[in-house]
Amino acid sequence: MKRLERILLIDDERFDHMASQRLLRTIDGIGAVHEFDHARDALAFLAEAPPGPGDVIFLDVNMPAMNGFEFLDAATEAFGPALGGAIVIMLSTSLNPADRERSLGYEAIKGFENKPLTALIVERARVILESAA
Amino acid sequence: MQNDPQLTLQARYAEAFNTYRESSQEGDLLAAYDLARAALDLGLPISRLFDMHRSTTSGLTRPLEKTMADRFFQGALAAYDMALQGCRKTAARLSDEVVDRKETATTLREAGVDLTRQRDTLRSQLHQVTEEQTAFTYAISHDLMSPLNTLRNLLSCHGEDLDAAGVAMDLEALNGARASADRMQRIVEDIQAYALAVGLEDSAGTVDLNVLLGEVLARAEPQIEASGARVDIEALPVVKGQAAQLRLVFEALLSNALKFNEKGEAPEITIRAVDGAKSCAEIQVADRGIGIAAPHLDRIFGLFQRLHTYEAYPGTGLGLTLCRRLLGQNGGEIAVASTLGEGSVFTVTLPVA
Repeated sequence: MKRLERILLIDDERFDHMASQRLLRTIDGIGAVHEFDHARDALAFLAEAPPGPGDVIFLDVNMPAMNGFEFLDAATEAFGPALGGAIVIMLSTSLNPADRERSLGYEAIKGFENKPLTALIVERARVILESAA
Repeated sequence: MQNDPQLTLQARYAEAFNTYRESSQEGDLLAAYDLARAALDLGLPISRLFDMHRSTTSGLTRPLEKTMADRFFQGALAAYDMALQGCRKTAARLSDEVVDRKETATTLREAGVDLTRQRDTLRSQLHQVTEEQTAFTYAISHDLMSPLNTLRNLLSCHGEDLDAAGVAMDLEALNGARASADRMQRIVEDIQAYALAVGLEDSAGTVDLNVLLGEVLARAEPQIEASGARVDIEALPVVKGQAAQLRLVFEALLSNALKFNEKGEAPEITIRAVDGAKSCAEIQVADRGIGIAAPHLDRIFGLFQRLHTYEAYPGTGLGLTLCRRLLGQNGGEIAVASTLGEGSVFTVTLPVA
Protein backbone atom coordinates (compact mmCIF):
# COMPACT_ATOMS: atom_id res chain seq x y z
CA MET A 1 0.00 0.00 0.00
CA LYS A 2 1.33 3.36 -1.05
CA ARG A 3 2.04 5.56 1.89
CA LEU A 4 0.71 9.15 1.83
CA GLU A 5 3.84 10.92 3.02
CA ARG A 6 2.33 14.31 3.61
CA ILE A 7 -1.21 15.55 3.61
CA LEU A 8 -1.95 19.27 3.45
CA LEU A 9 -5.44 20.34 4.44
CA ILE A 10 -6.13 23.86 3.19
CA ASP A 11 -9.48 25.19 4.34
CA ASP A 12 -10.73 28.24 6.22
CA GLU A 13 -13.25 26.21 8.22
CA ARG A 14 -11.82 25.25 11.59
CA PHE A 15 -14.45 22.62 12.23
CA ASP A 16 -13.90 21.04 8.84
CA HIS A 17 -10.24 20.66 9.79
CA MET A 18 -11.30 19.04 13.02
CA ALA A 19 -13.50 16.50 11.23
CA SER A 20 -10.84 15.79 8.59
CA GLN A 21 -8.16 15.24 11.24
CA ARG A 22 -10.46 12.93 13.09
CA LEU A 23 -11.04 10.90 9.93
CA LEU A 24 -7.35 10.74 8.97
CA ARG A 25 -6.44 9.38 12.41
CA THR A 26 -8.50 6.29 11.61
CA ILE A 27 -6.73 5.58 8.30
CA ASP A 28 -3.46 3.66 8.02
CA GLY A 29 -0.52 4.56 5.82
CA ILE A 30 -0.58 8.27 6.40
CA GLY A 31 2.45 10.35 7.31
CA ALA A 32 2.29 13.94 8.50
CA VAL A 33 -0.92 15.94 8.34
CA HIS A 34 -0.60 19.72 8.13
CA GLU A 35 -3.60 22.00 8.30
CA PHE A 36 -3.83 25.60 7.13
CA ASP A 37 -6.59 28.15 7.67
CA HIS A 38 -5.14 30.41 4.98
CA ALA A 39 -3.88 29.36 1.57
CA ARG A 40 -0.98 31.80 1.86
CA ASP A 41 0.24 29.98 4.98
CA ALA A 42 0.28 26.72 3.01
CA LEU A 43 2.24 28.47 0.28
CA ALA A 44 4.80 29.70 2.82
CA PHE A 45 5.05 26.17 4.24
CA LEU A 46 5.69 24.70 0.78
CA ALA A 47 8.34 27.31 0.10
CA GLU A 48 10.28 25.83 3.05
CA ALA A 49 9.44 22.20 2.30
CA PRO A 50 8.66 21.91 -1.44
CA PRO A 51 5.99 19.51 -2.70
CA GLY A 52 7.06 16.06 -3.87
CA PRO A 53 5.77 12.61 -4.83
CA GLY A 54 3.52 11.17 -2.14
CA ASP A 55 2.11 14.54 -1.13
CA VAL A 56 -1.62 15.01 -1.23
CA ILE A 57 -3.17 18.47 -0.97
CA PHE A 58 -6.83 18.68 -0.12
CA LEU A 59 -7.78 22.16 -1.25
CA ASP A 60 -10.93 24.15 -0.54
CA VAL A 61 -12.15 26.39 -3.39
CA ASN A 62 -13.84 29.27 -1.58
CA MET A 63 -11.53 30.82 0.98
CA PRO A 64 -11.01 34.37 2.10
CA ALA A 65 -8.11 36.44 0.77
CA MET A 66 -6.66 33.71 -1.45
CA ASN A 67 -8.99 31.13 -2.92
CA GLY A 68 -8.05 27.61 -4.01
CA PHE A 69 -7.41 28.54 -7.63
CA GLU A 70 -5.30 31.53 -6.70
CA PHE A 71 -3.27 29.25 -4.45
CA LEU A 72 -2.74 26.86 -7.36
CA ASP A 73 -1.70 29.69 -9.65
CA ALA A 74 0.90 30.79 -7.12
CA ALA A 75 2.04 27.20 -6.45
CA THR A 76 2.32 26.49 -10.19
CA GLU A 77 4.48 29.55 -10.59
CA ALA A 78 6.72 28.50 -7.70
CA PHE A 79 6.98 24.73 -8.33
CA GLY A 80 5.82 24.16 -11.93
CA PRO A 81 2.48 22.74 -13.12
CA ALA A 82 3.25 19.23 -11.84
CA LEU A 83 3.97 20.52 -8.29
CA GLY A 84 6.91 18.12 -8.03
CA GLY A 85 4.59 15.09 -8.24
CA ALA A 86 2.21 16.14 -5.48
CA ILE A 87 -1.47 15.69 -6.25
CA VAL A 88 -4.24 18.12 -5.52
CA ILE A 89 -7.81 17.11 -4.73
CA MET A 90 -10.27 20.01 -4.71
CA LEU A 91 -12.61 19.68 -1.81
CA SER A 92 -15.49 22.08 -1.92
CA THR A 93 -19.12 22.80 -1.22
CA SER A 94 -19.23 24.82 -4.42
CA LEU A 95 -22.12 23.79 -6.61
CA ASN A 96 -20.92 26.02 -9.40
CA PRO A 97 -20.08 23.91 -12.47
CA ALA A 98 -17.70 26.68 -13.58
CA ASP A 99 -15.41 25.78 -10.63
CA ARG A 100 -15.31 22.13 -11.63
CA GLU A 101 -14.63 23.10 -15.23
CA ARG A 102 -11.87 25.45 -14.18
CA SER A 103 -10.14 22.69 -12.26
CA LEU A 104 -9.63 20.77 -15.52
CA GLY A 105 -7.12 23.44 -16.53
CA TYR A 106 -4.65 22.49 -13.78
CA GLU A 107 -2.29 19.59 -14.28
CA ALA A 108 -1.87 18.95 -10.56
CA ILE A 109 -5.61 18.69 -9.84
CA LYS A 110 -6.52 15.01 -9.91
CA GLY A 111 -9.97 15.18 -8.38
CA PHE A 112 -12.87 17.47 -7.58
CA GLU A 113 -14.83 16.23 -4.60
CA ASN A 114 -17.66 17.50 -2.48
CA LYS A 115 -17.04 18.04 1.19
CA PRO A 116 -16.69 16.39 3.65
CA LEU A 117 -13.46 14.45 3.33
CA THR A 118 -14.24 10.74 3.48
CA ALA A 119 -12.18 7.56 3.67
CA LEU A 120 -13.22 6.83 0.10
CA ILE A 121 -11.74 10.13 -1.12
CA VAL A 122 -8.48 9.39 0.70
CA GLU A 123 -8.29 5.91 -0.85
CA ARG A 124 -8.94 7.36 -4.29
CA ALA A 125 -6.04 9.74 -3.78
CA ARG A 126 -3.87 6.77 -2.82
CA VAL A 127 -4.81 4.93 -6.04
CA ILE A 128 -3.93 7.99 -8.10
CA LEU A 129 -0.55 8.26 -6.38
CA GLU A 130 0.14 4.53 -6.93
CA SER A 131 -0.66 4.70 -10.63
CA ALA A 132 1.54 7.77 -10.97
CA ALA A 133 4.49 6.08 -9.28
CA MET B 1 -64.74 67.70 -84.17
CA GLN B 2 -66.59 68.82 -81.11
CA ASN B 3 -64.92 66.02 -79.21
CA ASP B 4 -61.43 67.21 -79.94
CA PRO B 5 -60.69 69.71 -77.20
CA GLN B 6 -57.70 71.10 -79.08
CA LEU B 7 -59.71 71.89 -82.16
CA THR B 8 -62.51 73.32 -80.01
CA LEU B 9 -59.95 75.49 -78.30
CA GLN B 10 -58.60 76.63 -81.69
CA ALA B 11 -62.12 77.60 -82.71
CA ARG B 12 -62.71 79.40 -79.41
CA TYR B 13 -59.42 81.26 -79.87
CA ALA B 14 -60.42 82.45 -83.33
CA GLU B 15 -63.89 83.46 -82.10
CA ALA B 16 -62.57 85.33 -79.08
CA PHE B 17 -59.93 87.17 -81.09
CA ASN B 18 -62.39 88.17 -83.75
CA THR B 19 -64.78 89.47 -81.07
CA TYR B 20 -61.95 91.57 -79.68
CA ARG B 21 -60.87 92.75 -83.11
CA GLU B 22 -64.36 93.93 -83.91
CA SER B 23 -65.10 95.53 -80.56
CA SER B 24 -61.64 96.86 -79.69
CA GLN B 25 -62.86 96.68 -76.08
CA GLU B 26 -60.31 95.98 -73.35
CA GLY B 27 -62.89 93.73 -71.70
CA ASP B 28 -62.80 91.36 -74.61
CA LEU B 29 -59.05 90.86 -74.04
CA LEU B 30 -59.98 88.89 -70.92
CA ALA B 31 -61.09 86.06 -73.15
CA ALA B 32 -57.39 85.55 -73.99
CA TYR B 33 -56.71 84.79 -70.30
CA ASP B 34 -59.46 82.16 -70.19
CA LEU B 35 -58.11 80.55 -73.34
CA ALA B 36 -54.58 80.42 -71.95
CA ARG B 37 -55.81 78.76 -68.76
CA ALA B 38 -57.86 76.30 -70.79
CA ALA B 39 -54.74 75.49 -72.81
CA LEU B 40 -52.81 74.87 -69.61
CA ASP B 41 -55.60 72.65 -68.27
CA LEU B 42 -55.35 70.61 -71.45
CA GLY B 43 -51.62 70.38 -70.99
CA LEU B 44 -50.88 72.19 -74.22
CA PRO B 45 -47.37 73.51 -74.55
CA ILE B 46 -46.84 77.17 -75.20
CA SER B 47 -45.78 76.40 -78.78
CA ARG B 48 -49.24 74.97 -79.46
CA LEU B 49 -50.76 78.16 -78.12
CA PHE B 50 -48.56 80.07 -80.54
CA ASP B 51 -49.68 77.79 -83.39
CA MET B 52 -53.32 78.58 -82.58
CA HIS B 53 -52.53 82.26 -82.51
CA ARG B 54 -50.69 82.19 -85.81
CA SER B 55 -53.34 80.23 -87.68
CA THR B 56 -55.95 82.70 -86.38
CA THR B 57 -54.06 85.88 -87.21
CA SER B 58 -51.71 85.04 -90.11
CA GLY B 59 -54.07 86.53 -92.67
CA LEU B 60 -54.13 89.94 -91.03
CA THR B 61 -52.46 92.70 -92.96
CA ARG B 62 -53.55 95.98 -91.38
CA PRO B 63 -51.07 97.34 -88.85
CA LEU B 64 -53.78 98.08 -86.27
CA GLU B 65 -55.11 94.52 -86.52
CA LYS B 66 -51.57 93.18 -86.22
CA THR B 67 -51.05 95.26 -83.07
CA MET B 68 -54.34 93.99 -81.65
CA ALA B 69 -53.31 90.42 -82.46
CA ASP B 70 -50.05 90.98 -80.60
CA ARG B 71 -51.90 92.38 -77.54
CA PHE B 72 -54.33 89.46 -77.56
CA PHE B 73 -51.47 86.95 -77.71
CA GLN B 74 -49.56 88.88 -75.03
CA GLY B 75 -52.66 88.60 -72.84
CA ALA B 76 -52.79 84.86 -73.41
CA LEU B 77 -49.05 84.53 -72.73
CA ALA B 78 -49.34 86.64 -69.58
CA ALA B 79 -52.10 84.37 -68.22
CA TYR B 80 -50.17 81.27 -69.18
CA ASP B 81 -47.09 82.68 -67.51
CA MET B 82 -48.95 83.65 -64.34
CA ALA B 83 -50.39 80.17 -64.10
CA LEU B 84 -46.90 78.73 -64.51
CA GLN B 85 -45.55 81.02 -61.77
CA GLY B 86 -48.30 79.71 -59.51
CA CYS B 87 -47.22 76.24 -60.42
CA ARG B 88 -43.68 77.06 -59.50
CA LYS B 89 -44.74 78.26 -56.06
CA THR B 90 -46.75 75.13 -55.63
CA ALA B 91 -43.78 73.17 -56.83
CA ALA B 92 -41.56 74.98 -54.33
CA ARG B 93 -44.07 74.23 -51.59
CA LEU B 94 -44.20 70.64 -52.72
CA SER B 95 -40.45 70.34 -52.72
CA ASP B 96 -40.40 71.87 -49.21
CA GLU B 97 -42.88 69.24 -48.22
CA VAL B 98 -40.68 66.56 -49.72
CA VAL B 99 -37.74 67.88 -47.68
CA ASP B 100 -39.95 67.90 -44.58
CA ARG B 101 -41.02 64.36 -45.17
CA LYS B 102 -37.45 63.29 -45.75
CA GLU B 103 -36.53 64.87 -42.43
CA THR B 104 -39.43 63.10 -40.77
CA ALA B 105 -38.31 59.86 -42.33
CA THR B 106 -34.78 60.46 -41.05
CA THR B 107 -36.12 61.27 -37.58
CA LEU B 108 -38.19 58.12 -37.66
CA ARG B 109 -35.24 56.09 -38.82
CA GLU B 110 -33.06 57.57 -36.09
CA ALA B 111 -35.79 56.84 -33.57
CA GLY B 112 -35.79 53.31 -34.90
CA VAL B 113 -32.02 53.08 -34.44
CA ASP B 114 -32.47 54.55 -30.97
CA LEU B 115 -35.08 51.96 -30.11
CA THR B 116 -32.84 49.21 -31.37
CA ARG B 117 -30.04 50.59 -29.24
CA GLN B 118 -32.35 50.80 -26.25
CA ARG B 119 -33.48 47.27 -26.87
CA ASP B 120 -29.85 46.11 -27.03
CA THR B 121 -29.06 48.01 -23.83
CA LEU B 122 -32.06 46.49 -22.08
CA ARG B 123 -31.12 43.08 -23.37
CA SER B 124 -27.57 43.39 -22.09
CA GLN B 125 -28.87 44.75 -18.78
CA LEU B 126 -31.18 41.78 -18.51
CA HIS B 127 -28.28 39.51 -19.34
CA GLN B 128 -26.19 41.18 -16.64
CA VAL B 129 -28.98 40.89 -14.08
CA THR B 130 -29.43 37.23 -14.96
CA GLU B 131 -25.69 36.65 -14.63
CA GLU B 132 -25.65 38.47 -11.31
CA GLN B 133 -28.62 36.41 -10.18
CA THR B 134 -26.87 33.20 -11.18
CA ALA B 135 -23.67 34.22 -9.40
CA PHE B 136 -25.77 35.20 -6.39
CA THR B 137 -27.52 31.84 -6.37
CA TYR B 138 -24.26 29.89 -6.57
CA ALA B 139 -22.66 32.09 -3.93
CA ILE B 140 -25.63 31.76 -1.59
CA SER B 141 -25.87 28.02 -2.09
CA HIS B 142 -22.17 27.66 -1.37
CA ASP B 143 -22.22 29.88 1.65
CA LEU B 144 -25.25 28.11 3.11
CA MET B 145 -23.96 24.68 2.15
CA SER B 146 -20.63 25.27 3.83
CA PRO B 147 -21.80 25.56 7.45
CA LEU B 148 -24.51 23.00 6.83
CA ASN B 149 -21.86 20.56 5.69
CA THR B 150 -19.75 21.34 8.74
CA LEU B 151 -22.79 20.85 10.93
CA ARG B 152 -23.57 17.44 9.47
CA ASN B 153 -19.94 16.48 9.69
CA LEU B 154 -19.72 17.39 13.34
CA LEU B 155 -22.97 15.65 14.19
CA SER B 156 -21.81 12.48 12.44
CA CYS B 157 -18.66 12.41 14.60
CA HIS B 158 -20.83 12.36 17.68
CA GLY B 159 -20.54 9.24 19.73
CA GLU B 160 -17.78 7.62 17.69
CA ASP B 161 -15.35 7.42 20.58
CA LEU B 162 -16.66 6.52 23.96
CA ASP B 163 -13.51 7.05 26.04
CA ALA B 164 -12.85 10.21 28.03
CA ALA B 165 -10.99 11.86 25.16
CA GLY B 166 -13.90 11.01 22.88
CA VAL B 167 -16.39 12.68 25.18
CA ALA B 168 -14.27 15.81 25.20
CA MET B 169 -14.20 15.73 21.42
CA ASP B 170 -17.96 15.27 21.36
CA LEU B 171 -18.35 18.42 23.39
CA GLU B 172 -16.12 20.31 21.01
CA ALA B 173 -18.08 18.93 18.08
CA LEU B 174 -21.34 19.99 19.65
CA ASN B 175 -20.02 23.49 20.25
CA GLY B 176 -18.86 23.59 16.66
CA ALA B 177 -22.24 22.41 15.45
CA ARG B 178 -23.95 25.17 17.36
CA ALA B 179 -21.52 27.76 15.93
CA SER B 180 -22.22 26.48 12.44
CA ALA B 181 -25.95 26.73 12.95
CA ASP B 182 -25.52 30.28 14.30
CA ARG B 183 -23.52 31.17 11.28
CA MET B 184 -26.13 29.82 8.90
CA GLN B 185 -28.78 31.78 10.69
CA ARG B 186 -26.71 34.91 10.34
CA ILE B 187 -26.24 34.37 6.62
CA VAL B 188 -29.97 33.87 6.11
CA GLU B 189 -30.72 37.00 8.16
CA ASP B 190 -28.19 39.05 6.20
CA ILE B 191 -29.57 37.84 2.87
CA GLN B 192 -33.04 38.77 4.05
CA ALA B 193 -31.86 42.25 5.07
CA TYR B 194 -30.07 42.59 1.77
CA ALA B 195 -33.10 41.66 -0.32
CA LEU B 196 -35.28 43.95 1.76
CA ALA B 197 -32.92 46.91 1.47
CA VAL B 198 -32.32 46.57 -2.25
CA GLY B 199 -36.05 46.24 -2.90
CA LEU B 200 -36.88 49.25 -0.74
CA GLU B 201 -38.63 51.78 -2.97
CA ASP B 202 -39.02 54.91 -0.92
CA SER B 203 -39.03 58.28 -2.62
CA ALA B 204 -35.71 60.09 -2.39
CA GLY B 205 -35.73 63.03 -0.04
CA THR B 206 -33.22 65.22 1.67
CA VAL B 207 -31.23 63.50 4.37
CA ASP B 208 -29.34 65.40 7.03
CA LEU B 209 -26.38 63.11 7.60
CA ASN B 210 -25.73 64.70 11.02
CA VAL B 211 -29.10 63.40 12.19
CA LEU B 212 -28.72 60.10 10.37
CA LEU B 213 -25.25 59.38 11.80
CA GLY B 214 -26.56 60.31 15.24
CA GLU B 215 -29.13 57.56 14.92
CA VAL B 216 -26.60 55.09 13.54
CA LEU B 217 -24.25 55.82 16.40
CA ALA B 218 -26.98 55.44 19.00
CA ARG B 219 -27.86 52.01 17.65
CA ALA B 220 -24.22 50.92 17.67
CA GLU B 221 -23.71 52.15 21.24
CA PRO B 222 -23.40 48.64 22.76
CA GLN B 223 -20.61 47.65 20.32
CA ILE B 224 -18.88 51.00 20.71
CA GLU B 225 -18.91 50.65 24.46
CA ALA B 226 -17.79 47.02 24.42
CA SER B 227 -14.83 47.76 22.16
CA GLY B 228 -13.90 51.03 23.89
CA ALA B 229 -14.01 52.73 20.50
CA ARG B 230 -13.63 56.46 19.94
CA VAL B 231 -15.90 57.69 17.19
CA ASP B 232 -15.51 61.33 16.05
CA ILE B 233 -18.18 62.76 13.80
CA GLU B 234 -17.51 66.15 12.23
CA ALA B 235 -20.10 68.42 10.62
CA LEU B 236 -21.76 66.54 7.74
CA PRO B 237 -23.72 67.76 4.71
CA VAL B 238 -27.36 67.35 3.77
CA VAL B 239 -27.68 64.96 0.84
CA LYS B 240 -30.28 63.57 -1.53
CA GLY B 241 -31.33 59.96 -1.09
CA GLN B 242 -33.50 57.43 0.67
CA ALA B 243 -32.91 57.75 4.39
CA ALA B 244 -33.56 54.09 5.19
CA GLN B 245 -31.05 52.91 2.60
CA LEU B 246 -28.40 55.43 3.56
CA ARG B 247 -28.78 54.40 7.20
CA LEU B 248 -27.94 50.81 6.22
CA VAL B 249 -24.87 52.02 4.34
CA PHE B 250 -23.44 53.91 7.29
CA GLU B 251 -24.42 51.16 9.72
CA ALA B 252 -22.43 48.68 7.64
CA LEU B 253 -19.42 51.01 7.35
CA LEU B 254 -19.41 51.76 11.07
CA SER B 255 -19.83 48.09 11.90
CA ASN B 256 -16.81 47.23 9.72
CA ALA B 257 -14.72 50.00 11.24
CA LEU B 258 -15.57 48.71 14.72
CA LYS B 259 -14.88 45.12 13.76
CA PHE B 260 -11.63 45.10 11.76
CA ASN B 261 -9.13 45.94 14.48
CA GLU B 262 -6.32 44.02 16.15
CA LYS B 263 -7.66 42.02 19.04
CA GLY B 264 -7.82 44.16 22.17
CA GLU B 265 -7.13 47.42 20.36
CA ALA B 266 -9.72 50.15 20.78
CA PRO B 267 -11.04 51.31 17.40
CA GLU B 268 -10.49 54.93 16.36
CA ILE B 269 -13.02 56.08 13.82
CA THR B 270 -13.54 59.45 12.16
CA ILE B 271 -16.53 60.34 10.02
CA ARG B 272 -16.12 63.62 8.15
CA ALA B 273 -17.07 65.49 5.01
CA VAL B 274 -14.40 66.19 2.42
CA ASP B 275 -14.03 69.91 1.76
CA GLY B 276 -14.08 71.31 -1.73
CA ALA B 277 -16.52 68.77 -3.13
CA LYS B 278 -18.58 70.35 -5.91
CA SER B 279 -21.94 69.02 -6.95
CA CYS B 280 -21.46 65.92 -4.84
CA ALA B 281 -20.96 65.44 -1.16
CA GLU B 282 -18.05 63.23 -0.10
CA ILE B 283 -18.13 61.60 3.29
CA GLN B 284 -15.23 59.61 4.65
CA VAL B 285 -15.42 56.86 7.21
CA ALA B 286 -11.85 56.40 8.36
CA ASP B 287 -10.51 53.84 10.80
CA ARG B 288 -7.10 52.94 12.18
CA GLY B 289 -7.73 49.23 12.05
CA ILE B 290 -5.99 46.31 10.37
CA GLY B 291 -6.32 47.72 6.85
CA ILE B 292 -6.57 45.88 3.56
CA ALA B 293 -3.71 44.65 1.39
CA ALA B 294 -3.63 46.35 -2.02
CA PRO B 295 -4.37 43.21 -4.09
CA HIS B 296 -7.61 42.70 -2.17
CA LEU B 297 -8.96 46.23 -2.49
CA ASP B 298 -11.12 45.65 -5.55
CA ARG B 299 -12.41 42.38 -4.18
CA ILE B 300 -14.00 43.57 -0.96
CA PHE B 301 -17.14 44.89 -2.65
CA GLY B 302 -17.83 41.51 -4.28
CA LEU B 303 -20.67 39.31 -3.17
CA PHE B 304 -19.80 37.11 -0.16
CA GLN B 305 -16.15 38.09 -0.46
CA ARG B 306 -14.26 37.80 2.78
CA LEU B 307 -10.61 38.34 3.55
CA HIS B 308 -10.49 36.58 6.90
CA THR B 309 -11.63 33.33 8.40
CA TYR B 310 -14.92 33.39 10.18
CA GLU B 311 -13.13 32.68 13.45
CA ALA B 312 -10.89 35.73 13.08
CA TYR B 313 -13.55 38.23 11.98
CA PRO B 314 -17.09 36.89 11.70
CA GLY B 315 -19.29 38.18 8.92
CA THR B 316 -21.06 37.08 5.79
CA GLY B 317 -19.28 39.12 3.11
CA LEU B 318 -22.47 40.97 2.25
CA GLY B 319 -21.98 44.34 3.96
CA LEU B 320 -19.88 46.20 1.39
CA THR B 321 -21.72 44.59 -1.52
CA LEU B 322 -24.90 46.03 -0.04
CA CYS B 323 -23.25 49.44 0.46
CA ARG B 324 -22.19 49.68 -3.15
CA ARG B 325 -25.56 48.52 -4.40
CA LEU B 326 -27.55 50.90 -2.21
CA LEU B 327 -25.33 53.87 -3.02
CA GLY B 328 -25.73 53.07 -6.71
CA GLN B 329 -29.50 53.20 -6.26
CA ASN B 330 -29.12 56.62 -4.67
CA GLY B 331 -26.90 58.10 -7.37
CA GLY B 332 -23.83 57.68 -5.22
CA GLU B 333 -20.61 55.70 -5.12
CA ILE B 334 -18.19 54.16 -2.69
CA ALA B 335 -14.43 53.91 -2.88
CA VAL B 336 -11.74 52.68 -0.55
CA ALA B 337 -8.16 53.54 0.20
CA SER B 338 -6.24 51.47 2.69
CA THR B 339 -2.84 50.63 4.05
CA LEU B 340 -2.32 47.23 5.59
CA GLY B 341 -1.81 47.61 9.32
CA GLU B 342 -2.65 51.30 9.35
CA GLY B 343 -6.32 51.53 8.55
CA SER B 344 -8.86 52.10 5.84
CA VAL B 345 -10.77 55.09 4.50
CA PHE B 346 -14.11 54.49 2.82
CA THR B 347 -15.29 57.47 0.79
CA VAL B 348 -19.00 57.72 0.09
CA THR B 349 -20.13 60.08 -2.67
CA LEU B 350 -23.74 61.29 -2.71
CA PRO B 351 -25.64 64.02 -4.55
CA VAL B 352 -26.04 67.14 -2.42
CA ALA B 353 -29.55 68.22 -1.54
